[in-house]
This record gives sequence, structure tokens and C-alpha cells, in this order.
Amino acid sequence: MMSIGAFAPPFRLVGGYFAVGVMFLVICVFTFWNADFDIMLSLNSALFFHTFLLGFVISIIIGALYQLVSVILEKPFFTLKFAYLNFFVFTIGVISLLLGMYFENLIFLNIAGILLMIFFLYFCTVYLLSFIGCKVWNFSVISLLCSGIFLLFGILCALALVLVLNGRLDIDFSFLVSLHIYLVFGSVYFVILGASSVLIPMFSLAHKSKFYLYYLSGISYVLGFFALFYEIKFSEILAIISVILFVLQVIMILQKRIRKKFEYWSLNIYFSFICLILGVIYFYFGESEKLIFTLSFGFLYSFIVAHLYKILPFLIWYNYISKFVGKLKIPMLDDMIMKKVAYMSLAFNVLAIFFSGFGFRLSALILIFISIVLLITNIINFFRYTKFGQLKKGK
Amino acid sequence: MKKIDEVYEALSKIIDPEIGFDIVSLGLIYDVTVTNSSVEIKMTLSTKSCPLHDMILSWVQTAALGVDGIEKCDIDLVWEPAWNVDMINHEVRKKLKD
Repeated sequence: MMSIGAFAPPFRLVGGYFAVGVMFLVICVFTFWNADFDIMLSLNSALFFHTFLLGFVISIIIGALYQLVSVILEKPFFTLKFAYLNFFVFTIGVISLLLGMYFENLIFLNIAGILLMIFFLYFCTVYLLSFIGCKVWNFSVISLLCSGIFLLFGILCALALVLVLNGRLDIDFSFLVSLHIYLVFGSVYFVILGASSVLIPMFSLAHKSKFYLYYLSGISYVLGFFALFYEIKFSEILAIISVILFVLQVIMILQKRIRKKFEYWSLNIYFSFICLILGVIYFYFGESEKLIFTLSFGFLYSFIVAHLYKILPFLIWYNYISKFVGKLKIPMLDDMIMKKVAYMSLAFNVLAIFFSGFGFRLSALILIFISIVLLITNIINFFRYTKFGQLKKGK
Repeated sequence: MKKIDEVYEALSKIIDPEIGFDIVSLGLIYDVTVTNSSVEIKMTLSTKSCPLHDMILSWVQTAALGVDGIEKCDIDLVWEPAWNVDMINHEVRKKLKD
């Protein structure tokens, strides 16, 4: 059993991805306003999807993966060489992509295509190579492996899309877009499945849970990929079944939790899963904008925020505070959170989902923007603790 | 006070920063055996993926060696029996549920 300390990547690397992710989250509010979800293949819609999924979600996930892989695989990340360089390639690539989509500028799009391709191919390669020699093969490991494979193929589909757009490849464009979306969303989904199977029991203190539904959920999503080649409707049904199984699995785990208290982590988790179910309902009724808002700012945002409240304080505590154990009075992780601010952030998030349900786009976006500002306030407060020893000595 | 009680007392000052309770009350210490100036501590962690793994072990080592007369500390980290919530001290469990 390996520990985080043995192979922990530099905090600056993980923190860098988190900081960039939150920066893109702010931009998401504006790109959502600009998007027209009646035309899913429009550049404006793509601009929002890429700001949110690539800029925010993938940034956070990659930062978290650098940290979690060694813990879950019980071996080090294959290599951290060029990790900082790759981080800059990613950031500049995403910014170029967003500028290219916003200004409909091919030069920016081409630069973004090249940079992001380099970034993803390198990251996927070292990420997948990390599984070689892995001795533990439990659900979380299998999920993370699936996420890497989905991401790799999702990126190759993106390359194929660019080649089709340039007239160098002759494949059905909309089918390729479907493949790209299913694969990239799948990579995010499998990280969530794998990470949640470790983090939810850990943070809620729930043990003795069986993971059958997790496995069935993963299998259902993979089958959905193959169904894409046959009939897209089957694929959608299998993806929805996968989501329902996932929700049921989480309910089963949470039923066994000993930490019954409702706090910033658990409330965000409950809310995210309520939004996931709400998303399935919107999907059934063909409410595309409500579906996208709810899945983005309801499910994914809340799920990520819940874990940011746990992971960021922990990383700062581990890197900057733990060395003072036994020497100074040190804070617990819970003490590092501004709880009222965290609850207010969640309350504005709930209101945003509520207003979006009635089609009040502007109100929902203002509310989610306030929620994000409050989240950032808490994050800035976490970073104050990087000066913990100095602050104490100063006093 | 018996040496073994002193070791338990030292260990009960180690707080899990995430859960906010000490490792003895959480039931992570399975057994403590003191022989002359040596102590053997059989313990577990709440999860195999515990990110504080090495840090908690080093705290346990430091705490045990801080007891007067203890010069050697061996930690036997075990996963069987697997830790579960029933091992948590009754009062702590009540606080966690509130």
C-alpha cells in the first residue's frame, strides 16, 4: 500500500490546474450566456462546452489525477517530466481554442488544435503507462484505466474532426461529433465513477458496501459506446441506465454512512445527484438548455465543489501545515473552511438551478456567478494557510 | 500508570485531521504490547487509500517513543480485520452522527 507522500506531485502543479480550472469556470458564465443550445453544433455552443468541460472540468480532473493516481494505483505516476511545460501547453491551448471559437478565427483554432493534441497525447500516454505494473485491480483502478482509454480515443476523434473540417478526411461529421462527445464525456464520467468509489465512502465513513452497481454502471456506459455504431438511441438509453445505476450505488453507500451530519461536502454531493436525476428528466422532455445548465452547474459543478472543499484544504494542510504537528496548535481540515460562505455558495447554486428550470437564463447565470465568487472566496482563504507557520510566528 | 496505558494516552493525542477525532477513539489501534523498553503497535487505517498513511505512522512512532522508558517502537500495519465503523468508540460515533 503506497501513500500520497511517497509519490506526491508538487503542490504547485496540482494547485496550478485547480487555479486555471476555476478561472475558466468564471468564463463559463459568459460563454453560456452567448450560447444557443437549439443549434448544438454551432461554434457558440461549442465555445461553452469547451470552456466548461475542457477549461474547468478537465483542468480540475487532471490536477486531481496527478494527486489521486498514486493513491489509487498504489504506485507512482509514470513520470512528472515535462509536467509543468505540459500544463502551460494546455492553458495556452485552451485559451487559443476559446479565442478561436469566439472570434471564429482559424489561426487560433489551428494553434489550439496543435497545442491541445500535444498536451493530451502526452498526458494520456504517461497516464496510461502509469497502469503498467499495477498490482491492485479494483473498481476505482479499472475506472481510471477506462477514463484514460476514453480520453485518448476522444482526442483522436477531435483530430479526425479537424481533418474532416479541413477536407482531408471523409467521415460523417455529425457521427464523429457524437463519438467525440460520448468518449470525452465518458472519460470525465469514469473518473467520477472511480474517484467517487474511493472518496464517498472515505469522506462519509461508509464501509462494507458492495460495488455491483458501480460495475454494472461502467459496463452499461461502455456498451453505450458500441451502440453508437448501431443506433444512437440505444446508446442514449444505455448511458441513462448507467447514470441511474450510479445514483443507486451512491445512495446504497450513503445509507451505510456513519457521518450523518449534513455539511458543505454532503449537501453538495446530495444536490449534485439530485441535479443528475433532474438532468435525466430534462433529457426525456427534450429541454436541451435546462439539461445543459443542470448537468453543468448542478451536477458537475456541485460534485467538483464538494471535493474541492475536501481536497484543497487537505493538500495545503499536508504540504504546509503538517510539519508543525506537535510544535504549534494546528487547524483541522474543517477549520480551514469558511462554512457560512460555503453554504451561501451552495444556496445560490440551488437558486440558479431553480431559476433555470423556469427558463430565467439571466437570473440563473447571475446566481451561479455569485456562487462561483463565494467559492473563490473560500479558495483564497485556503491559500492563506500556505503561510501558516509564518503567520503563527508573526503573532 | 502502567506503561501500556501511557502509550495509549500518547497515541490518543494523535488526531486524524479529516475526521477530527483521535486514532484510539476511532478504533485504529488494535493492540499494544510493551516488552521492557520496546513497544509493538498493531494498527490499521480507515481506508487503504488513506492519503495520510505515512504521516500517521510517523506520528504513532514519535508518540510511542515519547513515552518515558520506551526506546523501540515496531508498527504492524494490518488490513485484517478490516476497520469498520463498529470499531469507533461509542461517544465519538454518537458525535459523528449528530
